[in-house]
Amino acid sequence: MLIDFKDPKTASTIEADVCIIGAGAAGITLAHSLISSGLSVCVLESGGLSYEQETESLNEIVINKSIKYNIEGNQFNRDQACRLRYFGGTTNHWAGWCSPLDAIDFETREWIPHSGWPINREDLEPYYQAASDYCQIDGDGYDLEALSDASHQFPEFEPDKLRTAFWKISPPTRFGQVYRDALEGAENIKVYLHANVVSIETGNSASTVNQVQIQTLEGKKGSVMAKYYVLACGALENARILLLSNQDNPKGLGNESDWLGRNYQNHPHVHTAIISASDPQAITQLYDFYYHGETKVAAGVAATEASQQADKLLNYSARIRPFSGYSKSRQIWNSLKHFKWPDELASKLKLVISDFLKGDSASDQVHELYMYTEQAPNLESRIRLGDEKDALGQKRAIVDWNLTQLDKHTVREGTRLVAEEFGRLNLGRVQISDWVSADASVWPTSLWGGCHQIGSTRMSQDPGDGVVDKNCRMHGVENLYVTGSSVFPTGGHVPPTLTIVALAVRLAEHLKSQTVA
Amino acid sequence: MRRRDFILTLTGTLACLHYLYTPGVRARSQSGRIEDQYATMFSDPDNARVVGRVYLQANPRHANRAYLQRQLGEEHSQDPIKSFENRRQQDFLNGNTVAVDGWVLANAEVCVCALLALSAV
Repeated sequence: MLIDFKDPKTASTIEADVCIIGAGAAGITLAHSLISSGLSVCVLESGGLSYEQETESLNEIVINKSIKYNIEGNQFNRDQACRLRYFGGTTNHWAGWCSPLDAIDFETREWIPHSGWPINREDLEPYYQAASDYCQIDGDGYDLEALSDASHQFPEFEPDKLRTAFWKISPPTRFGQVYRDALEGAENIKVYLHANVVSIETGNSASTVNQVQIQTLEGKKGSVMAKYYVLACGALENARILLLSNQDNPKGLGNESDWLGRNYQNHPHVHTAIISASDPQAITQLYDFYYHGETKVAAGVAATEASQQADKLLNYSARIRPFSGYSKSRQIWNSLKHFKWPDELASKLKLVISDFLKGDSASDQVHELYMYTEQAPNLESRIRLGDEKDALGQKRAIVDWNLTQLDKHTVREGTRLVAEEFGRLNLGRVQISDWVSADASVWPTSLWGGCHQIGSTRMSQDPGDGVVDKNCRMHGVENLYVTGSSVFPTGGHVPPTLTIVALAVRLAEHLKSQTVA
Repeated sequence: MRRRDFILTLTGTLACLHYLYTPGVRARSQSGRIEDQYATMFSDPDNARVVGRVYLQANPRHANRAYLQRQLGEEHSQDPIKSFENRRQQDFLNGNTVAVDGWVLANAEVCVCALLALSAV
């Protein structure tokens, strides 16, 4: 059932077994997984069924530009960090890229501070199948065996250096549209629209949540009482709501460890090089989108576990795609850079490389190497509260997105490994952008985070090292769960949505088992 | 080429000119058959010579035919082109690369260009 909390007839006190805060990919998946569970479920959604400017303005954040390695990414200057506040959440403009995390992403890697999940890939494997169904992609593998075909024979990279990576592209699933009918028709599910959570309140011991306070932009207030509460609002808003819920702990609910809001990550997306290919058309065709059965697939390159270990790298991948307009702009840039001396180098070099490649010297077509990297966990990359307030009188979040030397090291070495493998196989020669070799603090203005908000409520075994346990339950609070990419200790190099959905399915199973127990 | 390399390049140019106009070096270059074989790899060997010159200007100490030949390992090869192909692959595999104007080339590739640059003088 869908209910508008703005409606004066809607009761202001709500009771349920499970209260889910947020109706995005995580919240909708969780609610859908609890249909016919015997549990009464209420879902609290800040927005309505479509885009509303006044509600979206609640997403506005403040960017801190004053600290070292702070990245003024484009993403924060538009759409409130890419998020959407209406039924379906950010999936309403999701691009649909899916891939599961690699096994190594869950491991403690001694060269990456604060790496290591309290669960491993095998723990999550059964849920990736269900997540694939939710995202409307096939649940087959993501390796060469599963996804290469007669017209897509990928290079045999040196196993210690590089591998072919794949992404499956969801239609993309608009969760609010695709699962609306099911939720609306479910007897045990009630979705409340325009119900903004302003506070999560605990009892005297602070170990149990008693209720959450909700409010509309028009001023109507209410409360929700449930046996279990699940926060599913994304990495920025999950942290913000918990920081705002500071009645018992001034540092915020669940922040005894001081990890709340910290470890905030994105996936740095950045152009690092151009490639002159021996056969540009073949490279374009190989790395363009194609269909594997009903599922749209994209291929690229990625780090192997061996190279991550040997070169102490974060996980990364890269797409290879045609780069139009390169030649002329490069010529102009070269002229300016070289003061027209030696003016013949660029063109001669291109011809020499073409000879080495035995390629088509007449082709002006080049490709770009566009990297997506895991971000190094970093305590100083964080969400905190500012003094500025939103229309509900709630403090806005300040975002410090920080990168480290390890992030730069990964981009530099990852690009080098691609250049070496493309050279070895004579697929092409790679020209690395100048900034890649520069100091760790130097990043191009085109850098952005891919709209992948990760971290801020870290999952950990030890309560002193994070905010939630391996079941996504908040350390020290028996009936409050947090789900979504905010719980990721590390984010791998893949888009987070498939794992967000898998974790939500897993949490649904856990909640059902808790109720039975 | 970065602006800071400009000074290095200028210094290298002077060193190269000094080297290349040394009579002994000039005589060896003119009589080298290996360079002729390498020249067949290029649609226009003069392009390779330009690249080679740029490399030697930035690395004047490498403006030495014997050194470059050692890098290519050609003294052990009956077929320098085939040997070059193997060496090129090994260079990329082992990370033995050189950046020229940002382009990542195998050390062997740059050495061939440099050899051609020396032979042209």
